[in-house]
Amino acid sequence: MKLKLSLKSALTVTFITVVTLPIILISLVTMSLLTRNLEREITNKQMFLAASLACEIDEFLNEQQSVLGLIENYVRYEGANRQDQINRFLLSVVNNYQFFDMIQIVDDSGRVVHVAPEREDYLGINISGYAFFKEAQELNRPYWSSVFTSAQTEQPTIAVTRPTEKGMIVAYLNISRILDMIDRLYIGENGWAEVVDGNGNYIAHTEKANVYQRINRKNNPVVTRGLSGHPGSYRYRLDGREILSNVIVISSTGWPIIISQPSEDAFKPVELARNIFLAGMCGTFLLACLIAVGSLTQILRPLAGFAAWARQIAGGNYHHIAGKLPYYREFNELAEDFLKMTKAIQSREKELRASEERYALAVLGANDGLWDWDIPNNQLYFSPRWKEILGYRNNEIRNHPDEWFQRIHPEDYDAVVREIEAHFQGKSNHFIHEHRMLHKSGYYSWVLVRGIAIRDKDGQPYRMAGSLTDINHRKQNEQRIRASLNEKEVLLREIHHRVKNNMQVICSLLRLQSNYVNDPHSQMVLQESQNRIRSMALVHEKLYQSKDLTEIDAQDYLTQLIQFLIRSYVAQPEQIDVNLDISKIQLKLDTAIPCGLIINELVSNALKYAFPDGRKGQITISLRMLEDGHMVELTVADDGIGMPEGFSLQESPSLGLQLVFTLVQDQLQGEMEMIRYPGTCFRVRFREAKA
Amino acid sequence: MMLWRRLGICVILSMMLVTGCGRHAPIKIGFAGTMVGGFSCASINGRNGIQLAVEEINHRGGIHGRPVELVMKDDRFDPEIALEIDREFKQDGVVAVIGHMTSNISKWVLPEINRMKLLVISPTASSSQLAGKDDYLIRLHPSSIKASELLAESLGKVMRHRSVAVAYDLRNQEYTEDWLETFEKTFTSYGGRIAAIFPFSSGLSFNYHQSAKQLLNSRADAVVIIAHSKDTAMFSQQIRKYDPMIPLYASDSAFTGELVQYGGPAVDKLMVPTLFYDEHTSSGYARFKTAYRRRFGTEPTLAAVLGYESAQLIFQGLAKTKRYNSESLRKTILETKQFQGLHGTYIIDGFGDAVRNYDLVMIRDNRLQKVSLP
Repeated sequence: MKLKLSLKSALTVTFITVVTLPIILISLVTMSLLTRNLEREITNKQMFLAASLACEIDEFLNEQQSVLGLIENYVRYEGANRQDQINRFLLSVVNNYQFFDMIQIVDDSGRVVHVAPEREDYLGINISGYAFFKEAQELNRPYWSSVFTSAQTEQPTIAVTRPTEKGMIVAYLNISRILDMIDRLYIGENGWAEVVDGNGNYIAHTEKANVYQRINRKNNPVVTRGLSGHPGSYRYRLDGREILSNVIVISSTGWPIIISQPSEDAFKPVELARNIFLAGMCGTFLLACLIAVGSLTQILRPLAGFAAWARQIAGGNYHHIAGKLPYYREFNELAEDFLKMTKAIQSREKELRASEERYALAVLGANDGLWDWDIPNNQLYFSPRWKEILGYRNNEIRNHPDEWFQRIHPEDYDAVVREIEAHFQGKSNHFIHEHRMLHKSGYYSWVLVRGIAIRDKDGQPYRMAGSLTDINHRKQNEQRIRASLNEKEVLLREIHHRVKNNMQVICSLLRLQSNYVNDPHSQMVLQESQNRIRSMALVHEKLYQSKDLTEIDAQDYLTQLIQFLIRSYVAQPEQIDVNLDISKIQLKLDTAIPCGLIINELVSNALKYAFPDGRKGQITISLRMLEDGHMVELTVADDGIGMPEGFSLQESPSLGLQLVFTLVQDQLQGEMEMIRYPGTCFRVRFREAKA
Repeated sequence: MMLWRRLGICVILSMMLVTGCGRHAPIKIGFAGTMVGGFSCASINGRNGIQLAVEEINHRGGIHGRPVELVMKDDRFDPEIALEIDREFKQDGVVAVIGHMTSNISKWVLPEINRMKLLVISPTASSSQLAGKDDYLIRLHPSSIKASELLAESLGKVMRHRSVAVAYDLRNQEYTEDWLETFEKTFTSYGGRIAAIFPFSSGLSFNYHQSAKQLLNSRADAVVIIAHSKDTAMFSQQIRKYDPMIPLYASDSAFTGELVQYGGPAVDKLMVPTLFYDEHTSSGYARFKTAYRRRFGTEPTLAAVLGYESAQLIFQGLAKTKRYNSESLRKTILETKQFQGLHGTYIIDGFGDAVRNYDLVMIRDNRLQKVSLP
């Protein structure tokens, strides 16, 4: 599976994230705190501006009332008799306090009794129709009206009233003074200040036209809040822009004073700070990216070089793998190791190629089929030769175990499965089995299947591979040889049987001959000859009876021989005690005949000469394999009278002993020793293969 | 293929966006009035009435989902400035202009608005010289000829005044001279006589006191003042100083502003032909009055009522027409003819003139009472 994640991408992202994330987080937090503080400062500054204006207007309003208070006092003290004085005084007030366009003193009915500047039009008229008159009369305290258009000036004006004993003083305020106060404020390029009366009409505004046109802003949410007595900072949207407004309410009149500015203007420093931070963050980010890309390029370019080398090696091209890699010592060290690895790979590849060639040649030479079993996935590969052995073309057999198992001869199937199972369970080191498989032509062909399983860490076999050898010819040959061997075995057995029979015939003839011989010596000679022949016949009889026709069981043979000899030479068998200590030794023909003859001679001698005069005795015959596994030791010992003094085995006149000596030396190529006391003991040692 | 498909989707989305934006673009209507000076009362009150109507319609979701935007300009009672701002309105793409508030200015701008095909709806222009013309001016105030005739008939036939002294404002000459001509013709037809005609130019320097004395010196049975509310009030104030009893009459133009405020007791028993009076109420007007008072803190004047009705006229027309332009709106209004006003239904005839009846009212204790003529 090809990995989609790139190291370069992963490192780049990680580097950038690790470097920039803290900076970005810190910057964001700092920016947030800073902008919040800045915004608060700006808002407070605007609020301070509003408060300052409110203070100034409040003082102005107090000044107005003070002036009206002066008038009230004057009128009270001067009384009604000094009309001209009052008029002059009023005129001087109007001249000195030019924020009043006109001052009237009206009676309770609303009739103007004094007016300044004096005008016939305004003296004697009744102003009780004005809305402010009724409101001022009801309140009976200093009062400021809403803005209305002055009849005398045709300009927006506010009536400032002060109740007196006999009516009220009405002064018509020229609002230009308040407009001037606002003019002196600087609220930024697009900011504005406004003062609104109780009905929402402008008393003053940075844009004077709004006042002269008597624009009413009661529908403005900030004005509404101000009119309902809720000062504070507000943000709202107007004509698609966000506006920051600070509202202060003048306590004496309830007029809201509003300082407003588009938020984008008000918070320009905030925006600037934010932009600086953002620029810084972006710059840092870019720088981090550049550094990341630069550094990683320096790191990854050598890796790309390695990758290129690896590709060349994969392609079998070893010639251009050389040179240093730039930038870092570690990469150069890595490059040197890489080059060494390359040389090692090249060398091993060469060896592998040679090994593969040898293997391929060997396989070709062996002419065997190959198989490779993927056990978990139940897929079994058969080489073309495997299929060919069974008479199939390459595309006629699929890669499935059934192609093998379903072709096994029914009689061999269970054995094959058992053998495989046994190998899987670890009971055998290799799987080797000869069985029959169905050839394409329809006959069963013998094959030798060999294989070995590979196990995982839990010991479970996950793969098995091996060979298939066509042994059909060999099996056929084996059968022929077996048949031939059988024939030969029969023949050999027959030969041994006939030899035995012939020898028995010879013994019979000798026995017959002895019937015609009166001489005891001659009879004895004849008897001895019979016994010799019988010992040899017994060997052939044992061979005939044996399985392999080449060896006889020494124990069985010697036991029977000795029993025969006892019967032959001992009239009273109970007189001689024969002990046999014969190991389980198999004697070949070449050894059994001499052994039999030797024992025949020695035992015969012992029976004949060791116990004269009816003496009782014991004869011990032992035959054992010595510890080296090759030498056999035959011992024939008696506790008889022993050999005469000066007896020499080599110079013995006894035919029998000479025969023994000759047999030991020439036939058995062994050694013989005679131990005289007690009795006589003959010990023969000769070489015989281990059974 | 994938690229073309994506491109097509982008184009469709963009069109939807644009269309969506267009659907919510505001409908602009203009207001032209005299915001400053002696003639500002009617304009300011008229503007307030229009503003209230616009705020109400926007609160209800606008017209077919589109908000209404009121663009206000000051003609400063100057014909040239009035022409200029009408051209600006046309360039701004307003569907209609409410204004101008005086017959003088309305007559001056008429040729140009006809040329530009800019629909102008005047709440208060009432000169007869503006009537019976197939033009782009629709007037909600009926021709003042009827008012003049009514008052003249009342004075001559009912009150049986033999002579009257008339003062008229030269600054609104189109209206005042036209009004005077009709009045004189009718009054004299009933055997009356115009004892004195006193033209004046209202303004800050005008001496109402002397002028009033001159009027009284004519020894007429009654005084008729053809002027706006403030001048009428000032004249009344001065006349009452010298003659508290002489009957005072005023033209219908007196009621467009704060006549009662400025006049006070001096305008008590003043008789005026007007469209509405206090007993002439309806639920619509009561609701309007409450809303106006709450919004502006003052009582609505006739100019405010007519301004409100002018805006309503436009809204009712726009609700019916599919295309939001002057031509289509004018056509729809003229075809519709009958409209719901604050005091009942009214008719706009084929020339765009309102068909409404005048009533003669008298101011008594600051209230308008209808005077029933025998």
